[in-house]
Amino acid sequence: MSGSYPFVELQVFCQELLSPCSAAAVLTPEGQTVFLKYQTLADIGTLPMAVQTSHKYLQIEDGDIVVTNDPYSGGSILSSVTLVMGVQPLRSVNRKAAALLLAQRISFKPRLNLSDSVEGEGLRIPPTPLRKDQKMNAELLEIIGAHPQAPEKFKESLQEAMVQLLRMREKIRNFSETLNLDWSKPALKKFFQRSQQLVRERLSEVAVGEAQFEMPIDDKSKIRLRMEVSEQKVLFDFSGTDAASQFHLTDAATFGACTGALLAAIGGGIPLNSGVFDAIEVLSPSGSLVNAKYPRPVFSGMTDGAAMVANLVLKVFGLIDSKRQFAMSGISQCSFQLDFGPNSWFFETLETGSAASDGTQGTPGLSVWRRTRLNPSVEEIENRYPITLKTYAYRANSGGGGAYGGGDGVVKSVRVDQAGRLKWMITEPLLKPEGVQGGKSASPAEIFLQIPGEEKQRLHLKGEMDLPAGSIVTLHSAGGGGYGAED
Amino acid sequence: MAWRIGLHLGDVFAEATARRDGESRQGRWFLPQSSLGKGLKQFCEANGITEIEQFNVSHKIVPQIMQRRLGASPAFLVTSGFENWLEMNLPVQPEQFSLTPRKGPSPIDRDLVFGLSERVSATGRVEKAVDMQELEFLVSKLQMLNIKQLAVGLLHAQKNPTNEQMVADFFRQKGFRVFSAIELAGHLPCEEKQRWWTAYLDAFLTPVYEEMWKTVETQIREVGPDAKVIDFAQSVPERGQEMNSVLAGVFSTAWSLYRGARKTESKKVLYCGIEDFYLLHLDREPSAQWNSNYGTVRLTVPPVLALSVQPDLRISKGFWGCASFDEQRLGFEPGPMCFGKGLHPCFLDVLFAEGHLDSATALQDRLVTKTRARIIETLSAYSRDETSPVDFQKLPQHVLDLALLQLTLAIDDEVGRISLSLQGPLASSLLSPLKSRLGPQLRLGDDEGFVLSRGLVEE
Repeated sequence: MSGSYPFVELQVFCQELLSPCSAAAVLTPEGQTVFLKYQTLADIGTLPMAVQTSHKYLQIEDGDIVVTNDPYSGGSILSSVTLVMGVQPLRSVNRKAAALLLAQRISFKPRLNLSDSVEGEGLRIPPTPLRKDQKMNAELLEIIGAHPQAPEKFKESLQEAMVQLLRMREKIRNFSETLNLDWSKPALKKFFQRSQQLVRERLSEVAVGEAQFEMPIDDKSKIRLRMEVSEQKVLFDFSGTDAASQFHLTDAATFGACTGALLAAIGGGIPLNSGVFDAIEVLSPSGSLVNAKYPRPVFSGMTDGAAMVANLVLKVFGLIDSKRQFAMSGISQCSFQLDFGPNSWFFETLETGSAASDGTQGTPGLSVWRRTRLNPSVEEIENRYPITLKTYAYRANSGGGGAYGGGDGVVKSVRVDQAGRLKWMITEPLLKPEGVQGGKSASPAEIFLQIPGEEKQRLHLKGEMDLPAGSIVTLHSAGGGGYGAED
Repeated sequence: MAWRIGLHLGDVFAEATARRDGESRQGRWFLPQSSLGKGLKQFCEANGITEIEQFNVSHKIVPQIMQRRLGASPAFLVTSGFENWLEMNLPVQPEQFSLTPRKGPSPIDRDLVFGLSERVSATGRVEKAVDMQELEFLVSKLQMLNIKQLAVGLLHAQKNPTNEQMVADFFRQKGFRVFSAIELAGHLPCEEKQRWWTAYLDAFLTPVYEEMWKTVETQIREVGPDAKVIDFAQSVPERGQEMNSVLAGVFSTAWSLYRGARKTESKKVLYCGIEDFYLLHLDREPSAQWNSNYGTVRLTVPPVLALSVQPDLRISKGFWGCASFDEQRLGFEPGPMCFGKGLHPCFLDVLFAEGHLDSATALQDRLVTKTRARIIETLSAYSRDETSPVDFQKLPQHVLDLALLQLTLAIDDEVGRISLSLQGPLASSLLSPLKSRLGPQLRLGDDEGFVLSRGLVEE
């Protein structure tokens, strides 16, 4: 093949290879990303980091598998577990060293634990070998699976995922030779160079310049972002960002948020690999809320916090290039949980409304920055938990008005039919999801509680409390901002 | 003795197999040139077919109605509080982050969705009975809007159908055509979204389907006035006790393929049609769920997989600055460039440009030789931003290689090293290029390309 076709072929191969996975990546042992598939903003930065950290400390060889969920080793939230496997693509090469690293991220049902430390959020697994020298460490898997904080069906799911990884390894080995796939360093160097060149061409369509904005998160903390767009790269400088806040992100998650927002802003179809990443630089002060250090809790940061950073990127982008002013989508997934015992907990999130843009209405109940969705069956939920779902619907008139209206958020209302404990976490910046060019802001997220015999009350954004049977919890997610002035 | 004719109506090609007492006749014609009635008449005359007892027909009426949104939005009655529930669960597009994400296209008209204040609990207890006054009010409203059909889906109706049955009976008595989720879902347990989609889609499709089917039936009866005309998808034995629903027509082509390929020795068949490619798993049972573009729908479906590479898969300029495939299918109006009228290249065009269609007898009168140069020109235009040297004459081969790569990987995923039989009108065109990638496990089936219509008259 000539021209760019070897690159297209490599991309098509990786796409097909990883098609059974929701979030996965192929990297070189040197830490370069060949292909990445994501579900969340955090995945974009943390998946490569998980692979790099695991390989750095454990020297993963062909056929070895490592497990981790540690946010400070490249993990995301603790219920997302990453498996990393070494692959030697060529059967003819009799070497144990891996020439490729394959990563797959498995998402379990989260468990909401409000804590000031990541250790209180759940079971943290640093990079740990699960398969070495072709032997599975079944005992270790059993021990982790039996931990009281281990996700449900942990052992079975990981076993299934490992089988899938081994199948993918076989596929790489089978097809690398028959299809002459070139994984060598010189070939991949050209692949990255071409990607970088193409993403720079996209950047050249954007106005060159610099701008800065400070987004207050609450009355104690803010994120400051200075963006510099040149024809060669985009710099995201978070100097001046505060330390403590409602949420914390690792630097890898912040990189993911910036990259995801930038690529969405300059148009789709851009593959994620190191060639593209090299056009992006993120400076995040150590210890700040965008580069949090152990043992800061991360659940809120990896979810709502990443969305807030992405919105901030769009805001500053619009200040640099006035032709690209974007209304803001809602950010908080409004996580809430009802506990009915050690093995019975109902966890749920809400989609927000997406912002409108020039010529397009926002979409109700569609979070711009999330591709994971729970939404199981109402009947299955009610069969399984002592609750009655009263409403799962769009939240009327919650999108910002405008020539093009923002998308409505969602309302979910749940009655507990047995006493339980409620936990909830909503992240809302002081600024509502803004409209632009005359469009109106959307309604923010909120949570209400009606205890039998009492008045309906609006709750704080975060907390936990015991509920008697008959209580009704109602959550409203934020809408998206509107675009343009209404006639 | 009278003939039985299996007739498949595609987007632009019709295919027929006639069978009588050990004799068999086959034929194919291009519908834009020769209508259904005219083509069928010519087929019968050419083969001396005069007495016909039955036509078994498979078709693409239902997929066409869905794709072109030709259906009629019914009223949709659901448990109050869940009026948006189906829409909320539609898949999101695109998969990558975008500032204008959207949900997959939906046939639901939000203005016609009504919540009923009734409730059945998870234990099957009627917590709130149906309010007859509310129903009376709805009748007036729907009559004012001139709505004649409605779909009904209530929570936990499979545990206790009382409320849903009452609503369905009430509206039937008032003269409405009612599609009830529990009636259509049958006895197989399934959750509410699956059942509700079945009811809604059936209600959406049925009026237009009935008109279109009547047109088909009329044309067929001109050739066989005394023959029975049967919509094959409605009568497939593998669907068992499942209630007849128009929605089953989504898989009309797949069912006829499944029946036609059943007697193949290989348990895996790659069907290489002119309009569609399918992978058949003859060693698997039909499934009770359809993973549709709307979500999971309760419907019995054959173990047949539509592949991501299709004959009309569009070629455009990709991120890498060269011609490659995107995810859109062009359809057959106006069709591939090699048929002479199309403006955008697709997979069939690169097969043609590389000479792989020379052995496809089914297409010989369709192909326009001089379009080869135009196809290469168009691919070159898409690759004009290439910075590395590329021989433009080799572009069709490069693009073809990409499609074959995708096909190879998809087949390997599904089939592994198991023997695979290629059947259909383009089987001989794809055998050699696929064999070089998948190895000796591939062999050509012996159906002469008529497996679709043959399945309609198989015993």
